[in-house]
Amino acid sequence: MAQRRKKKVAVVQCNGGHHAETIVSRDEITGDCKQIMEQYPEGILQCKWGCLGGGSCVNACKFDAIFINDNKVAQVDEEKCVGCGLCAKVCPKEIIKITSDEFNIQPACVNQEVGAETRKECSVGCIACGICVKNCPADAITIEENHAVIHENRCIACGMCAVKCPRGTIVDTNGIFTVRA
Amino acid sequence: MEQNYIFTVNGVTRSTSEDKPLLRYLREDLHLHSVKDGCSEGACGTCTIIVDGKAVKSCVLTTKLAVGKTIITTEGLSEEEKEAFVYAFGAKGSVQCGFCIPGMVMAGKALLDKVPDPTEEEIKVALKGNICRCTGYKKIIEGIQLTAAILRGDAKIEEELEKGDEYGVGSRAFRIDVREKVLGYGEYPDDIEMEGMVYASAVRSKYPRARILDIDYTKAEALPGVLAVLTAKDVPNNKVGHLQQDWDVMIAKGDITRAVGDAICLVVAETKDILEKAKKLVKIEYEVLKPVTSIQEAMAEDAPKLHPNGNLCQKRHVTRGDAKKALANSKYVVTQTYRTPFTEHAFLEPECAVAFPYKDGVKVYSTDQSVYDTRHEIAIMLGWEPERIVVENKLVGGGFGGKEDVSAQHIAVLAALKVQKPVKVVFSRQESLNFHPKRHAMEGTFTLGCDENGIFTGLDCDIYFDTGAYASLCGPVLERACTHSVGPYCYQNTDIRGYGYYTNNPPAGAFRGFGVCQSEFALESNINLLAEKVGISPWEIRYRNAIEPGKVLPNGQIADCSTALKETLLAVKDVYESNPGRAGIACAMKNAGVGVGLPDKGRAKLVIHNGIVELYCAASEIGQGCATVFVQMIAEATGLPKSQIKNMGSNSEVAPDSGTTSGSRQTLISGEAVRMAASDLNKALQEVDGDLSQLEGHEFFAEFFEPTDKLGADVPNPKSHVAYGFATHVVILDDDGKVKEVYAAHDSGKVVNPIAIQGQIEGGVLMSLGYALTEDFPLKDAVPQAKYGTLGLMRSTQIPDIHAIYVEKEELLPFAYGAKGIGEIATIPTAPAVQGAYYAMDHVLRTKLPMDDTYYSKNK
Repeated sequence: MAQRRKKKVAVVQCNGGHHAETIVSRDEITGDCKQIMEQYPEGILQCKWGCLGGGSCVNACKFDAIFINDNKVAQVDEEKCVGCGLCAKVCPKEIIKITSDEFNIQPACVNQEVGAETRKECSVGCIACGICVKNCPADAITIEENHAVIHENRCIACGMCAVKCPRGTIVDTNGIFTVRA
Repeated sequence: MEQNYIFTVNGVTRSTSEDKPLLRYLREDLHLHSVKDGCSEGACGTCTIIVDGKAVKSCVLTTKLAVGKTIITTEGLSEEEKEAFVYAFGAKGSVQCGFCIPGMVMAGKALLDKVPDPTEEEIKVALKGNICRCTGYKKIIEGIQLTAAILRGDAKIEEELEKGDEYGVGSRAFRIDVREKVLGYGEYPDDIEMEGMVYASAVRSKYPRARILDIDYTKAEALPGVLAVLTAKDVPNNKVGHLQQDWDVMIAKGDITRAVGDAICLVVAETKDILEKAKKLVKIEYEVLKPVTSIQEAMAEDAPKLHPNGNLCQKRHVTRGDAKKALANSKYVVTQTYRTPFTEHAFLEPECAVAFPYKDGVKVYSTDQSVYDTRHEIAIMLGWEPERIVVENKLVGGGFGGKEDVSAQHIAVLAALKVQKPVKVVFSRQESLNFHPKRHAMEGTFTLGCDENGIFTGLDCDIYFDTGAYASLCGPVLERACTHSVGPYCYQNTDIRGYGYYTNNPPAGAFRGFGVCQSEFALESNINLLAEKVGISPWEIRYRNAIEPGKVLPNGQIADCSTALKETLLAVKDVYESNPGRAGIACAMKNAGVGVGLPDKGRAKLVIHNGIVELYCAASEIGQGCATVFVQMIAEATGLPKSQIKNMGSNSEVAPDSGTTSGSRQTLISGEAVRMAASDLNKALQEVDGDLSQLEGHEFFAEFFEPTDKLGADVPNPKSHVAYGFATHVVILDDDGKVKEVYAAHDSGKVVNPIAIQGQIEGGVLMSLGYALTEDFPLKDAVPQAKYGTLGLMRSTQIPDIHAIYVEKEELLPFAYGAKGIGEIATIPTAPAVQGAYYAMDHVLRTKLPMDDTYYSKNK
């Protein structure tokens, strides 16, 4: 039986992709995220915080542990990821964080728009409704800059927030409480 | 079209059309009762199962989300895994009340499936979502380590240990309830299913203090499936209470509520879903009144009277010698005021009872601390002869004092008698938090003096307790706080005044430590200040004053031959002294037995039936291990193996009353009764050459009563209690102020079960650490603000290294093989030792619990 004793893992804090409204059609895009940002300084999504799907992180990863999924957002393969942080360093949107793999419940959105704007821009974006805050048994969630933040010193990874989230923004990277769209 | 949710449970494909929490599906539809419902909020971990290889909480997952998943519960473990967990958890003493255990097993299995040889740290992380309130986690971690070793083939199951051919006093006894608790087939009341069983639940007050203007339940009553709605007028005698009958079963129309936990009406319905719907249809009209939220408000002259005799519920004045004069003549004197909070027991099993018509009365399956106490309160409510009421304990998922009062039992009885069917009442976790009595919040001012050598001269103190809405056990708890505020030392001038006030806060009552956690925190903190003035170490001042056999305690009682406080001090001397600036120390004493002149009797009956010895002794096993201790005592007296002795449990119909599980008394008081009966059996056995079959049908009954003197008895050296346990704890901080280690040295007389006592000590220490550092029960206008997950209960990843040390002396008391009980004392000295350690570190005296400005308050 293979042992997996990993402490650290990368988490992509966006699940927008096809759920996010674009400014520039994805068909017109070439190159990695850095090149996209050079070509389209305003970005390609209405949401300024979302994953571009250009794969700078994919290119940076030495373990083949991150890929652009069918939804056109970066996704981490936890089995392969060692949490080295190279992907996080190259992400121009700074939406990849490195954490411990015991925290499998993660908000996949860090947008700072007010809820009404977010609704227009992305169907899986955090609208800061606070339902997760109310349902968290450990008082581990706060709304900061218009999105849910899970404080890992309190989080017990029970998954209640993910199950209750009306937008499917909070995901379970183990894929039990939520299936990544 | 109706959708079906299909998934696999323990290898069987299951399908349901209902979208509901998986916990409810597993328990109610599949009857997989190992999956325990401790909170249904995702906070406690008792419902942990394995889904696609991951440990998850089944109360969070739904049937809909479970589609296509592979689910395993404890029932679905392989035989090899079952045997490994049972043996390992029994051998390591991982099991106490057992309610968290199946969840722990599943969290452990999920880890072991991935990592066959986990480190201690990995196990702690894996158990982070699972609360245990009994063990302090250490024994569970060790249990998982041993399970892992067995499954890897690195360790073997010693079958002899569970078999227990040698099971006498002092043997490593494999508890009698390990197997049923580890595998989850042992029954707690919520696991009971009966033919025709229905459900009842109380609608409780929205406001701590409000006049009930109207109760309109016509819509609820009209809902199909609702069987009855009861109000105060349906209760023969509406006032119950453990000692003082001041607690309304339901608040009547026109009356005023006293706490948010107050019941206003009781709804009985065919199913849980109908019940919840019906409760929402009850309309209650309130006139909201300003609540009394503190002792100060309760004392105010214009305060509303919460009970007919006013707001002073109980007072005590404990005095001996002349404290005023002694303090005036003392070289050094310190005065400090201390504040301690309400504390929630947080037992893993919420209150539950099942009642049904039985013979000419009623029977109740109950989770409580004495079936006879429960019977007594129900008898008062019904105005019946007590014998018509039968109360039987099922497994009790932790109590810690919080299950001494009736909670669900009496309302289940009311409902069962009304509808003439079995009725289950189970509290939601929040209902439990709001309803049952807490540890009293205290404000106390303590003045302690000493001479130039640090020898204590006298103590003067005022102790104010907030007893909340109802008396519960305020009287005796306040009394123990007063009598034990002196500490385990020898000085003869004390003037102790105690007051317990009613407020509109949740009630306060018994909680492990029984008032002594509060008063000894204050005293031990003052002692450190005196040591500083004298210029000696906190260890030295305690050693100089320590009680020893033959010397006189501050209450006048002469310390008996078994007293071993000094031995506990010596056991931790080196570790204390080798951590200067990082170590704190505190001592404690705690009575074993109710004492103070009360008829505190232990009773036991042995019946030889079908070739085995059946023990009948109504002494509630709440996880502490007394049921096993009694079997050990029979084994010791008779030489019989465990397989020939059966503890028949606590049932008021067949077992004699052996008193409440309270006051650390079962091992000593009931244990001695068991020993006496077993000793008679042994004599009879010897007459028949050890052939038990010749004694078939014989009975051996014993009653143990050792008189004590009442408080203030006019004798030179009153004997307040049959025995006292003693302890010294040392707490060591790391450079960040995090508790690194705790050394807990205990004198509890003869150790009956060395496996069990360690877990009792470690669990007590962790509870006391929580009391010192993380636990709180915040109230806003008398309304509890905490949820189970925010009480500040320490989790597995937060525990320090706890070293349980027990000193055993040659000289022992002549009862129960010299055992004195360990139940409460382990929770007492850790908090003041933490205080002392912080004081040693930064010289700030933290007078409030939980303490401010610590590693823990900063990393909340």
